[in-house]
Amino acid sequence: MDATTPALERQPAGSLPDYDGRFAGFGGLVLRTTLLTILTLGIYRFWAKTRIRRYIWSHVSILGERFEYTGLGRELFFGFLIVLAIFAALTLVSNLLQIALAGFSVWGEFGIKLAYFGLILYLLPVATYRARRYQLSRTLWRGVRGSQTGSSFAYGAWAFFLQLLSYLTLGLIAPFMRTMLYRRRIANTWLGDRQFSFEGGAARLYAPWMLVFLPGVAAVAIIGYAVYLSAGDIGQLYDRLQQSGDGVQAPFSPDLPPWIFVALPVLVTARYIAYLWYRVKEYRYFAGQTALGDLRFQASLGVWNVVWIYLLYGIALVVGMLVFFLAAGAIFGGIGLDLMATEPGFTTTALPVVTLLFLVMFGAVLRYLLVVHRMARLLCRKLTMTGTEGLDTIAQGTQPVPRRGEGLADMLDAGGI
Amino acid sequence: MQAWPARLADGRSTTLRDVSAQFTPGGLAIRQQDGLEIAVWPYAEIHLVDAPGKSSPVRLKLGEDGLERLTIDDTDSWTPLRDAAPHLFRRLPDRRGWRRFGIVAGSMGAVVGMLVFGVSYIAAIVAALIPLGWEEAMGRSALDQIVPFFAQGRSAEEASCKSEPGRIAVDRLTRRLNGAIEAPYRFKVMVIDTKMVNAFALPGGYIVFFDGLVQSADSPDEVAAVLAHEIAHVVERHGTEAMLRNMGYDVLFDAMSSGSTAFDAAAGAGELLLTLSNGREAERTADRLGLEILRDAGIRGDGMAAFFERMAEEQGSGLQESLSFLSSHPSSEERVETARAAASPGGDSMSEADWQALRKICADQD
Repeated sequence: MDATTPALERQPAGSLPDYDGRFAGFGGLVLRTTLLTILTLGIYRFWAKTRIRRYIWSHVSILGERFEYTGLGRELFFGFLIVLAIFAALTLVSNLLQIALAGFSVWGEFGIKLAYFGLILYLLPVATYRARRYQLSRTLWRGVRGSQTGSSFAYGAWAFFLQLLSYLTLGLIAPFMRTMLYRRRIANTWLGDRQFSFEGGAARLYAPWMLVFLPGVAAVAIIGYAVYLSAGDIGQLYDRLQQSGDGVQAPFSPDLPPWIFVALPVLVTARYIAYLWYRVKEYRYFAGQTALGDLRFQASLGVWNVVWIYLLYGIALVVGMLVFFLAAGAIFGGIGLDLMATEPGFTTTALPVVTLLFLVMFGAVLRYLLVVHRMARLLCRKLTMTGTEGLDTIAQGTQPVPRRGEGLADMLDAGGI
Repeated sequence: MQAWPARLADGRSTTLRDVSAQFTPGGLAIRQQDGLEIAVWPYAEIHLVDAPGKSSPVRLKLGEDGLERLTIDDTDSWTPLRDAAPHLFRRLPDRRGWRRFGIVAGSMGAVVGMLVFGVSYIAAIVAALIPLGWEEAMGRSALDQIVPFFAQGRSAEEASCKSEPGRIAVDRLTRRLNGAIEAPYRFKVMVIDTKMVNAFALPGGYIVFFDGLVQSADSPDEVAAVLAHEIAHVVERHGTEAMLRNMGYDVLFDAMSSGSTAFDAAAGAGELLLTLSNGREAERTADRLGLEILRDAGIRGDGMAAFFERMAEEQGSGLQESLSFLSSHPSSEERVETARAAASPGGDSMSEADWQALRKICADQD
């Protein structure tokens, strides 16, 4: 939005949200905060996230009014501390139980590990739901707060079981699962006292999903066939591994027909591309079926827009890593450090640490600059809103406001901005 | 006085009013279209919504948690705002957090430090409380996992050398050393058929020698010294403590490091250094205690120094010595000196016949 637009002019119907973040300004912020995060061994990440969100939120505007992010770093920090305490207790109990059962029952030990793993899987959607609730409660537009109702634990349960069902059916129910979960999220989302609604169903998504589902099933079938063919060889491989202990000594060469080595990568690539295409179609459909009172959305996002962003990101990542490894190789080779030392020593400790630190910083910065920033601009540009008159009459809501946030999401690395 | 066109949201709904704002000496005066004054915001209670920027509109709120919003699109209004309310620019939304962050980071560092020491402390206590049966189960399970790794995939049963005279020699020596201490452990000592030169102890009394160590020893007193050292590890529950401590560190560092892979890496390195440092303390204790065991069993103690001297010759890298804080054992030179200083006189550790039998313990292994 032009900053000198007189306030008396209103946007005509059919307006777009606007993102006016600048690459240089945003990039500088990301670099500074990432550096600080690394220097503080990660403690600063809560404040870094908060500053970045504040930047993005305050550069998105609807009808000329910018959003506001009122979250604080310390809220995320305390949320993290609480979940940390709970998880520490859980891990301790789980480990002690494993010790107690070690040697007495191999199934007991396995069972505990399985239960722990299952619990984490369940808690992941719970975490994202709660994180979303926190972020919505810290989002203001024209002084009116967003909010999210509904139980995160119920959502987690639905997500867990639907996800399980989806795996069992090789993904057949995926559109149904995604629609159900989206509806749960969006129907519980509020701006002030006005509730979002979703009027769609999964039926329209099944045709596009078939393009993803079928290659996937075909790939699984081929893998199963390949395993069946080499069943004998796998037995031999297992025996050899047991004997040598140092790894396989003879090459593993089962008798597989060559077309498998062509068909499989083709199918996997096709599925991946089809999945991107499906996601964009799904996004457009969901946007069209989402409403806030009289407000309607229409998305014109195209697959190629998204692919281009991720493609550039991937290339930049690969190039960056190549440059780093070449440079590191030259430097370390020059000093003549022994990289094959088997005793834990300076090289075996410092080298992976330095590498990881660099890769993390590089990857994170690149993601914000090449993906988050560009996607924000793209999504705003390709979204049209109609019926915006109703936006003038939303009252402040009365939903409770969570005091801390995202401890679970941080613990489980649930991703996001 | 200039009147800036602005928009006012009252915090109760999204309805906007077109107003004008004036930076009067007494506060920010907000007037509606017809000139009627709606409110005057005292400068002391005004807060910035965003960090100031030359190209972003001025957004103000009344009170830190207030929901009323005043937006002035004209970016020239930053100047009179700065003149009227300079204090706003001293505690910018971003800067305010710095001092708090410093306090938080400092206290977190202190907490982490205490937790790290606490883990060691608690691990020692818990290790002493764990029932013998649990320890033996832990040791047995560790044995079953570790031995195949060194013995070309064979289990502990298969790889353990079984020549009868050799086994008798081992048992005799073990009982002799056991007699010198009071401990509830039943020591299960075995020699594994592999050329590596090493020995280790697992919780619950499992002690494993590699045949390579037996073969490379110049005298049985060296083997006795190593056995005494390993027995000391078992009695002091070093293995159990180490496992518990690592569990504690895992809980601490794994849980804390999620969300930041950089922290993962640094925490992993920190955890490694801590583990190594604890290991070195344990080794020193085991050396010392081992010598006492030898003395109480009536065996001369110079086998230990001799063993370490040979180890020192074979390792010999100056760089590694100087980086000993990064190693899991104290430097061999340090151990030689300590062992020589603390060795007591005594008799032979075993008969010549036993020694020959021990050297052949793995002879008939297939």
